[in-house]
Amino acid sequence: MIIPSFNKKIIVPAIGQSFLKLDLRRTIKNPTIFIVELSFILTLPYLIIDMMGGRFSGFEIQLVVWLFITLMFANFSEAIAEAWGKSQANDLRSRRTKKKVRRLEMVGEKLVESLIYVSKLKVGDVILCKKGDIIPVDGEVIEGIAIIDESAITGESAPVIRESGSERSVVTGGTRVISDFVKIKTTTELGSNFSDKMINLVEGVKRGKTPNEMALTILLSGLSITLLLTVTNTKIILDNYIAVAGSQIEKPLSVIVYLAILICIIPTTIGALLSAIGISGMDRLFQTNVIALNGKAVEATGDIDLILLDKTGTLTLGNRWANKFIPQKDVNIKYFSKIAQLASISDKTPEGRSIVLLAKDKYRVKADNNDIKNISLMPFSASTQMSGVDIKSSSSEKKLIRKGSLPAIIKHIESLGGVVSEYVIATANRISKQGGTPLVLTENKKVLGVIHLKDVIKGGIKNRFSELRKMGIKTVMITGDNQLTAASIAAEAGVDDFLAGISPEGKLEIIKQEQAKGYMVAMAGDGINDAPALAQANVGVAMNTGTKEARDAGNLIDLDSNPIKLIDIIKIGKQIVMTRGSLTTFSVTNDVAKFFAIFPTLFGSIYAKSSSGEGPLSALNIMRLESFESAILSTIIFNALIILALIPLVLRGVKYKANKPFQLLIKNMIIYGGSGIIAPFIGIKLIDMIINFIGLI
Amino acid sequence: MQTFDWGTPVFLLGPLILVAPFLGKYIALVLEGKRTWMSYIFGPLENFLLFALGGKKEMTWQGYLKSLLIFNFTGGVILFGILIFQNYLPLNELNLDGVPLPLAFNITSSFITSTNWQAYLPETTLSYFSQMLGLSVQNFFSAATGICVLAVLARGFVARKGKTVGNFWADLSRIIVYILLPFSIAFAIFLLSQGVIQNFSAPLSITTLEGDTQILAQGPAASQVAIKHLGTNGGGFFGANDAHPFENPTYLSNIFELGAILLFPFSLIFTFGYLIRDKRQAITLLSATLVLAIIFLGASFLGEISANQVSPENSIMEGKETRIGVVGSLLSVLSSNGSMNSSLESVSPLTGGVFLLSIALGDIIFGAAGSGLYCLILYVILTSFIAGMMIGRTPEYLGKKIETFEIKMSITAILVPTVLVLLGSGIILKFNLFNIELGPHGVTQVIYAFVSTANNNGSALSVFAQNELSHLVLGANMLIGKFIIITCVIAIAGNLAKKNKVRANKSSFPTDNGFFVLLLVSVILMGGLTFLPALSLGPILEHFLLLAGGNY
Repeated sequence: MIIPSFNKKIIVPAIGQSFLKLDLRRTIKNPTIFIVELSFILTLPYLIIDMMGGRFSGFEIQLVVWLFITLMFANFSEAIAEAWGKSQANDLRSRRTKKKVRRLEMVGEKLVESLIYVSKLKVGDVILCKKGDIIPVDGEVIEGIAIIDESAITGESAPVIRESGSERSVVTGGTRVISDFVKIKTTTELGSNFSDKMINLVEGVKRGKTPNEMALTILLSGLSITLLLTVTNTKIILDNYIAVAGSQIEKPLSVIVYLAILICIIPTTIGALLSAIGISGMDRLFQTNVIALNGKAVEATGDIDLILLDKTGTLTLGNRWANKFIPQKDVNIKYFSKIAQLASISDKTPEGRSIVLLAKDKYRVKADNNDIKNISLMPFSASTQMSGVDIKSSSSEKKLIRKGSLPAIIKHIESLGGVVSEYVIATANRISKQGGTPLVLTENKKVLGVIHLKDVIKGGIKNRFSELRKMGIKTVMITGDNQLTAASIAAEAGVDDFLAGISPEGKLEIIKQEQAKGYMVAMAGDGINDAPALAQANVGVAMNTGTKEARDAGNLIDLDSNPIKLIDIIKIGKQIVMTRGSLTTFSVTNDVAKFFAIFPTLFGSIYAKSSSGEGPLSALNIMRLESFESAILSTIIFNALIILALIPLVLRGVKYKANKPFQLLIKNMIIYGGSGIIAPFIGIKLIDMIINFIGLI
Repeated sequence: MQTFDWGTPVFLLGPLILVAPFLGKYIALVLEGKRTWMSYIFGPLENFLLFALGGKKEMTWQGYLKSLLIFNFTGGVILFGILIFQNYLPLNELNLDGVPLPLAFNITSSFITSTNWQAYLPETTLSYFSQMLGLSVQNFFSAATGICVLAVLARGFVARKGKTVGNFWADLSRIIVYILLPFSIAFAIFLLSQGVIQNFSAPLSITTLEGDTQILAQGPAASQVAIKHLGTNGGGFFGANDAHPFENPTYLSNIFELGAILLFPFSLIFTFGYLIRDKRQAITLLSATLVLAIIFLGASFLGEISANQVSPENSIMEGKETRIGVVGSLLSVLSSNGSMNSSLESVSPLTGGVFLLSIALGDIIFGAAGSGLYCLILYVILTSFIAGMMIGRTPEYLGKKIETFEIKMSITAILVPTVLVLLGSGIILKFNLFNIELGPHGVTQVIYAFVSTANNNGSALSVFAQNELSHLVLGANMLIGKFIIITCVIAIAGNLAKKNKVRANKSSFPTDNGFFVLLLVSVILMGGLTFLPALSLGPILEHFLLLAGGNY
């Protein structure tokens, strides 16, 4: 993950935001920081009273200043994560809404066509979609008739007809007009809903806390309250001793000092960064072009141990593509390719186009004008189950070229008095068994051979599924296809397992069963029939090319419609939780050094016998800090600076590599727990030396 | 160091570790309501109690908690009544008056919470009736209550989408009938064989060799001593507790009494393992406890050596019996019992500090029957929460997701005693309400009193002049400490029961290995930081002053 290059555009507003975030109504949601802010506010009257009484203490003023800086650093971390997220949301918005669409408007008596941005479309607008256009939003056909490819949405490869005034008038956003044109009255609007939702997710105030974050907040609040009592208790006992046994500290220390100690020892580091961790997790998610509808779903991805993938439209492209030409033994492959291309030239379905492409790319055949000159198209008809062309050749003889399913072709050939060879029948059956679709190609009464159509798996899937396996996650493909088809696709896609012959209700049932067994299930799908399953799954990832129903049911939407994105989503989910855990450990272990810095020096002079002012407890001052003033000041400075130093880590996230969880735990414990103990010993000692050197105390 | 010092832990822990798995399994069977060979003897009694108390129907966690609280409250009222009206009740050989109200409240709180903080001298305060039917009975009930709560917690981890957590009356009956009663009877008979007394005679007045007159207190000691140890209660029949020869006459009785304290805490760890069907987990918990025990026992032993400036290689023996030895003495404090076999006032300041810290961390080293373990599991939940996050999963333990509710309850349960101690001792010390000498030792005494009561340990670092205020404050402390934790634990169990069990797979981390023990121990010790300032200003300061030749 890349750390954004921070420029003035992000940093300056973030600084401004940091001040706005001082609002107590906002900080109360983060109890640790709330305590810091209250402490800061509480110090002010004491400071003023001291000043007015002429008891000017540079030490106390410095403490108050550092209290304020701590607070500002905490706010800044949140502000900068927000600013990053917002700049991304804006990017995404402009990218998504760049597309234009033809809108029809009645201006006076005249119908005016204008090009507008998709995002500007309102419900009820009338748009014109021509051949080749993608229908931008859901709507209803009010005029015209068109063939529409809905494969991207429904997975059905056969195009459908949509016309006005019939029950087939509803069109879905994301589908394509293959022929003719339609006027559509929109029933939804794309607007900027997504980016609005995203912006909400990266704004500290509007962003709901995830359950894990909530639990941690409670833990930190409990710790903070207890440590508040620790400090109070210490003050009481120490005041007693000062009264009874005397000390170098002649009078009880002021409340300002104790408040500064409190801020040093409560877990301010994690408290300050908590919100930024969640926000920057979202930021990273948006970088992968995934939109989350809530933060909970993102963190839940880290727990996933089973992924169910719908086949059509999720693992595979919606349509089947021509993969291979298998001519009869006595037919030349070049000739076959040429005929196949001619047969498909009129076919605008993706299958048809894929045949033309295959002939061109693999077999280097391209139809020339001579071929097309005398051609008449025979589009696919429901009655014959075939499509093709009739060619008038020079000998004024008509060539009938047809392609279709095996049964249809057998019927066709037999009606012409020909026979279909055993070889062709065997080949077609073999292709069916492997999960492909055979199309038989004929010229007059001669069968030329078979075209192998097959599902096309989306690019790069196989390698990355092995990565999921390393993360301990099982992938299962579910499909309505038969066992054989499913097996071949599953093997090709590299999923661990597959379930064939599953009805839409079946998908839901499977998820429920797996959940009952204790699995955390993610479902990736795109069709209407996936919607219930997407909603039931612990995490539902909807493909953006999918239906509206699917997108509504899922809690994550993949704008690139690529299921391998799941790996990135899972990594980000894990990273968020890991960063939170690691920095909690770091923050809490920091207390060891902080306690040893502050308390021995604070208690150092009580019961002092010698004139040096060193009491018995100064033996515990293992860090050899100069004085209790410099010890407290060093600690509070360290405490504030460490927040700033950790912001890049928070934005980037703790690194996640697929590994055994036990090794991961040991590694992170050593890195964050270990440095949590050691770093402050070194840091505080250094700062102590510096402030004594330049004479701040 | 003497042979005794090595011998005691070896003689003690060796047999215990051998016996605990078997006894643990037996207790698990009892808690699951299964038949054991004991059912032939006590079956009818069990059936009668289940019928009489309505022990058949499964309860929700709220129902269970309600029954538990009602039972303990009723027990408390009865005990309170016995104490204040003991002058009207039989077996009052010394014609003692009724116990004054604040003290009666303190004693009642102390015994229904299994704390057994003794703010009184039993010989001169309580009649035999109060001791036998008041205190001894509560020893059974409070121990049984602790085991009940542990059973509920285990059921919470086991259940899958369950609504109920068992039946309190059934658990209570079975624990008493099959576990506490038979073992106590057997142990009391053993104690009699060693010379522990059991009679209703009035105190003897004897003439010593020097010609002085000495009053020898008597009474039904053996029966109470047996359950006081087995139930991990610790309230002595005599003021000197286990240091009194009538309670603890021989080296053998001492080993067995120490063993009896640890018997159920050890076995219950295995019981938990059997109940959750995961023995490795039990061994992990046992290891963590043993590691903590070694750390604290070692530290307290070093503390004893540190204070001896005359012969630094030896520990101080003042206030200890040679037949028991130093380690034997230290063990009896650390095992959450408070039935001291030595004088706690005589330990070195550092040792006192070690004890204080050990108790303040939730009294989980061995811990009282049930309560030590459920407190340890609260720490386990916290540890799993943090460790789980560090591998990028929402945390889980034993297949149950640890979420907001569990953390809220665990952190409350863990911090309530700490808050009670810091807040309570703070207020008392601010206004010096207990009239102590405001030096390190006085401060330690007050903090120790709060730590011991809030965590239901019951040992006392010397008796400062206790007054009505201290009776009331410390009494309330015990009640709050005990029952808030119980409420939290049962609530956690109820909430866990409702959850489905997450499948353990390659991406969840194991909680049954040495590294987890290390993490758990570290988390527990980190908790000690909250007491570091108080420890510095109390025992540690006193230690340095002692070395410098002062006395405070």
